[in-house]
Amino acid sequence: MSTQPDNHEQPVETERQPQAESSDAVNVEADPSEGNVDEATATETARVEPTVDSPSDSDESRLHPSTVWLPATETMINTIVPFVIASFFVGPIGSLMFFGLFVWVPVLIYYIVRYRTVAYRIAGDEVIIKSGLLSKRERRIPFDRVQEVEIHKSVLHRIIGCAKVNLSTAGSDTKEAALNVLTTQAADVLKRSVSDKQRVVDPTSDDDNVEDVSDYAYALDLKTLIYGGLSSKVVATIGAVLSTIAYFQLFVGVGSDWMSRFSKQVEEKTKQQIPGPETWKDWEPDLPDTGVLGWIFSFWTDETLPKSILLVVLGLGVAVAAYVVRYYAYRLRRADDLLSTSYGLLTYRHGTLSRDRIQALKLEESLMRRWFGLAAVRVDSAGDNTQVDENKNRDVLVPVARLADAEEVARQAIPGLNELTPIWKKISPIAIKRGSKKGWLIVAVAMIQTYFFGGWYCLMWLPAFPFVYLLNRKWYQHMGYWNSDDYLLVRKGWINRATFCVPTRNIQSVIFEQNFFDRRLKLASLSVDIAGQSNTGGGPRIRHLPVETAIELQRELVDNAAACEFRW
Amino acid sequence: MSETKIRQLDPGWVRLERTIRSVVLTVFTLVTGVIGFFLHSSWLWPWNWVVPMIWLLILSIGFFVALVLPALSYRRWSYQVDERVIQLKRGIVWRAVLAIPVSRLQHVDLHRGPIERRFGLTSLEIHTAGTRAASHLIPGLENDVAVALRDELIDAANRGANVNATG
Repeated sequence: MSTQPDNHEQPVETERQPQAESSDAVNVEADPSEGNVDEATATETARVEPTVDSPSDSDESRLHPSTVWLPATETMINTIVPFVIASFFVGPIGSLMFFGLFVWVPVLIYYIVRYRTVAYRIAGDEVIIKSGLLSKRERRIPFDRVQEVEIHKSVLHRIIGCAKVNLSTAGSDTKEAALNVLTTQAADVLKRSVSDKQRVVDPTSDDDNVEDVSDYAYALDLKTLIYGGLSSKVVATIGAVLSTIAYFQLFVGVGSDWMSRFSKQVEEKTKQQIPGPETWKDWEPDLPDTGVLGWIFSFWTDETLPKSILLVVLGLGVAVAAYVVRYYAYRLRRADDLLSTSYGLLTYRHGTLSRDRIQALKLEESLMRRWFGLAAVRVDSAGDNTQVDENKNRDVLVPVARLADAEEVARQAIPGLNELTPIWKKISPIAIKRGSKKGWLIVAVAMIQTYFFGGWYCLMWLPAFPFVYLLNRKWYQHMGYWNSDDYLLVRKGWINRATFCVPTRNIQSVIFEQNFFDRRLKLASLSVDIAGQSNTGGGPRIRHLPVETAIELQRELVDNAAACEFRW
Repeated sequence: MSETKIRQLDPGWVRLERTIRSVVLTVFTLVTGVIGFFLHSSWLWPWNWVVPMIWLLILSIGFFVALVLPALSYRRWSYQVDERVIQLKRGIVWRAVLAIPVSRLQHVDLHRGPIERRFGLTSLEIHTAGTRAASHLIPGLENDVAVALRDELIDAANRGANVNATG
């Protein structure tokens, strides 16, 4: 599924932009060479615009001619799975009409219009982008204000030697400029213009002086990457689903062959097609069918368990492969305040991000990652208001790294961060009891429900009671917070353990909250609000703090925050 | 959060809230009453009295929310401003204390709606660059108090910026 990581990005972007830049070009003459892929220079022909008084008009360039077909083709490729699924429900023609009318044709039209209307030029310290069909828009982006440059190259882009460039500034959450389909050279020129201004290090360039200008470099090796794939969330989900199925099968028995209908169809088909002696078709392995062995073998003869295992192994393989393909050759470099990353085997991504802009950092060590001794680092930058789904991973700083490396990357991203595993301050142990009670209540409700539908099968919920307690106990053991004058650290979770780090200067407000039950137990929660929440989930919230501690901590945090200036 | 004066909202805010909530409650009562009058609940017989009972229960909760809650809420609402920190306290069941460093102020808004104007009240909204709690409202301030508070906040923020710029 994630072999096409653009799946979600592409349609959203294309839907949003037409409104934002429903745009111009009354005076654009049709380019006769459009569609000619090789003649990249043809797009950079000079256009005379008497109304604009800027002296360097002659450098104006347009998008690559492949703008006309490439994004639309890409959208088509990315929506092929939903298209096929939809055609099962509404038939191929209905599906074709739906996707054609509402997705493909709009994207095609949008990009044709964009190709005809967008023009940009680099003038000194800024890039000037003109767009718009009806209402013209001219946007000037000074290079030293660019917070993030992203270069995207999908397989299609790479075949024809092109790229997509996104520029973002602190002012807006959405991209300030998305120039889809530029030649690689043009993209490089843009990138270099920014880096010349900002001293960004390009992690992909093989220059000798890259090492000189970069203060820190990290490259992800293949072994770590594969381990990272094995310990990723997708794989964990597959494992959890398998164990749930196995548990239910053991408890409920062979009757719950969840794949029986599907597998019987396959069986019928294969029986009809396989030639050979009659006895082949009805061959059954001679296995004991009584006693404990018989009970165990009943799963195998029923084929459900092997089928489940096969499915899971296949799923694991695909998930790991997708992970490796996505993050292949991951590199991170830092020069001064700029972090730059690059990765990707098929779709190549390159991004730069200013360290100043980082609002919060999250070091993720899930249970499986801890077994492998790995961790991931995510950061949030100012202006990220919308929660993005995990697949998008825009500001993931390091997808996976050995713990020591991940901690070093965290230190590189937040200057002054030296302690990531302090002696944690604990919350009130009442948390275990409270959490368990809540969990038990849910399990009890589920149990009663099951009793009405399945009688004594409701007993299968029994192991959930100690499990809920264990979960809460483990959660409590891993929960902790720590604060110094410069930053606040909060560690949370057991299965998905994460350490949040919020520099004090980024704290926007601290909120002390107490509900009715909290008051009875003399507890309170403390939430910290920060300027970004897309990737880390926002500022941390510490629950079940004793009231006095909470008041004290709130005062400390706010006083320290008040003492330093917030800068974007 | 040093020992500065704890300030309360204007008592007129209780009347304002009661008025607004009463208007909403009256509209709700009329609409549901008219609908209920024409609704046939005979199929519930002999339990059809349950429907008006539920209606009355909802109405009594409505009366409580409209007439009693504002007074309770007023008693719990307070705010405190010093040169470094703005602190808001509020909530009856869910109590909250919000602490905002003055240096994090992005801008301050004053709102004066039509009903608020009749009561001579203004609400003041503090904006930070945050996400989940990016804006904080102090309702029910007397007009002059609100304007003075706004100037006070902006002065404090500017002073902080100057101190930081020079030091």
